[in-house]
Amino acid sequence: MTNVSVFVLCSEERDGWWHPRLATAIMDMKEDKRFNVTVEPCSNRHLVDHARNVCVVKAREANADWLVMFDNDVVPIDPLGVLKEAIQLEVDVVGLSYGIMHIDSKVRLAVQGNGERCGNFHGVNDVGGGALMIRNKVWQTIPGPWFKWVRLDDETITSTMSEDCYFVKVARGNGFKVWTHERLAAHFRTMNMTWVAELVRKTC
Amino acid sequence: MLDSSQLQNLISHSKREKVVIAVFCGRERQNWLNPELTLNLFKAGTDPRFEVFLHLLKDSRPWDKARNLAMAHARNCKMDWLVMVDNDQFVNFDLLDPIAHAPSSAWVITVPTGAILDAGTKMVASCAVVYVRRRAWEKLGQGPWFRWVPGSNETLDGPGEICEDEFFRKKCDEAGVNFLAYSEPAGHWRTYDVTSIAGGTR
Repeated sequence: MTNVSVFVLCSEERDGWWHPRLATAIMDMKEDKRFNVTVEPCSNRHLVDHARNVCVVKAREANADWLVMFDNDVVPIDPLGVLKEAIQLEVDVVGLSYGIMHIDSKVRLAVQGNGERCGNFHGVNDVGGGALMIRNKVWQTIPGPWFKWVRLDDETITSTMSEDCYFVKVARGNGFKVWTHERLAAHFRTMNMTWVAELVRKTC
Repeated sequence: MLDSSQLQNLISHSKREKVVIAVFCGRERQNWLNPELTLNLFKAGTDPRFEVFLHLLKDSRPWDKARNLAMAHARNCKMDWLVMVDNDQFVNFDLLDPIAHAPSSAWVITVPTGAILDAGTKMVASCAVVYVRRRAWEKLGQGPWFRWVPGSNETLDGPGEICEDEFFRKKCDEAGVNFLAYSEPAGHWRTYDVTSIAGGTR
C-alpha cells in the first residue's frame, strides 16, 4: 500500500487554524482504504521555507512514498483521487492550482502553465505551494533544503523568489516535471464582499 | 482668557451637530476593527463639520441587543446623529459625508454593502453601516428598535424569521420614518474562496 505523509501548515493563533472543509477533506483521506495516510500538523514554524523543509525531512524519516502538504486555508477536492492519477501516470510533483490575491486586490490562479499535458495534468513552470504532492524520488534525488525564500542583501532584505517557486525551479533543474491538475483547490482569504458582489453582478 | 477668535471658535463648535459613531467590535480577533475602518474613524474624529464621539460596543451580543444599546446611548446623550458600523465594514468616502449631504427628509440612511447570502453574494441595504437622525428615534419612541424574530420551525430559521435590521426597517416604515440608501457602497471584509473568482481566469 502507498504510504502518504500529510502535513498541514498551521499555527495555534486562529488565523493559522484549519479551515473546516480542509479538516473534513483530511478525515476523508484518513478513511480511504487505498492508501496508508498519516496526518500531522506542521505548527508554529513561522518561516514557511523552514516549515516545508521540516515536512520533507519528516516524510523521509517516515519512509513515505508521497509527501502531501496543505496550507491551513486551502481546501482540495478528492486529493487522493489526484494522487492515484499521479501514480498511474508516473507524475512526481503536483501542485494544485488555487486563487491568490494581490495587494491591489486583483485575483489570479497561482500557476504558470507551459502547455504540456499528461492526462488531467498540465505542465507548469511555476505553481503555488498551498497544496503540494511530492513523490519520495524527489527528496531521494535532490539534497535539501528543497524550499528557500531567496532574498537580496539590501537594506530591506527584498524577496526575489518565494519558497515554492524556488522548489519548482530546483525540481525542474533536476529533471523533474512539475504538474498541476485540472481540479482546482479552494483558497479561503479575507475579501471585500462588496467588490465580489459587484463582480458577480457584472458577470451574471 | 479667551480671545475673540477662540471664543468664536468655541461658539461655532457648540453649534456643530453631535454625532456618535457606534462600532460593533470585540476582544477576539475576528471582532477587531479592520485597518480601513480604523482610518475612517481617525479621519471622522477630526472632521471639523461635526462634534464627534466614538462609542465602542465591545462583545455586545446578540446583535439586536447591541444595536438597541447604541440607539439608547445616542438618545440618552442627546446626540443629533447615530452612526452604526460593523467591525468588518469600511467606506471609501469620508464617513460623515452622508450626514453632511443628507437632505432634511433623510431620517435613516443605509449604505449598500456586499453580503454572502444563501442565494449568493449580493448587494444589500442592511444596517452594517447606517446613519440615524435624532428625529428617527424621537418618532419611533421607546425601544427596542431592533429585534431578531426567530422562525416558526424547530430550528428557528423557518417562516417568519426576521433579522434585526429588517425589523428596524419595518418599524421605520410603519412609523413613517424616511429610510434612504446612500449612493456609494461600503466595503465588507469576509473570508471567501479566492479560487471561485480566479478559477475563471485559467
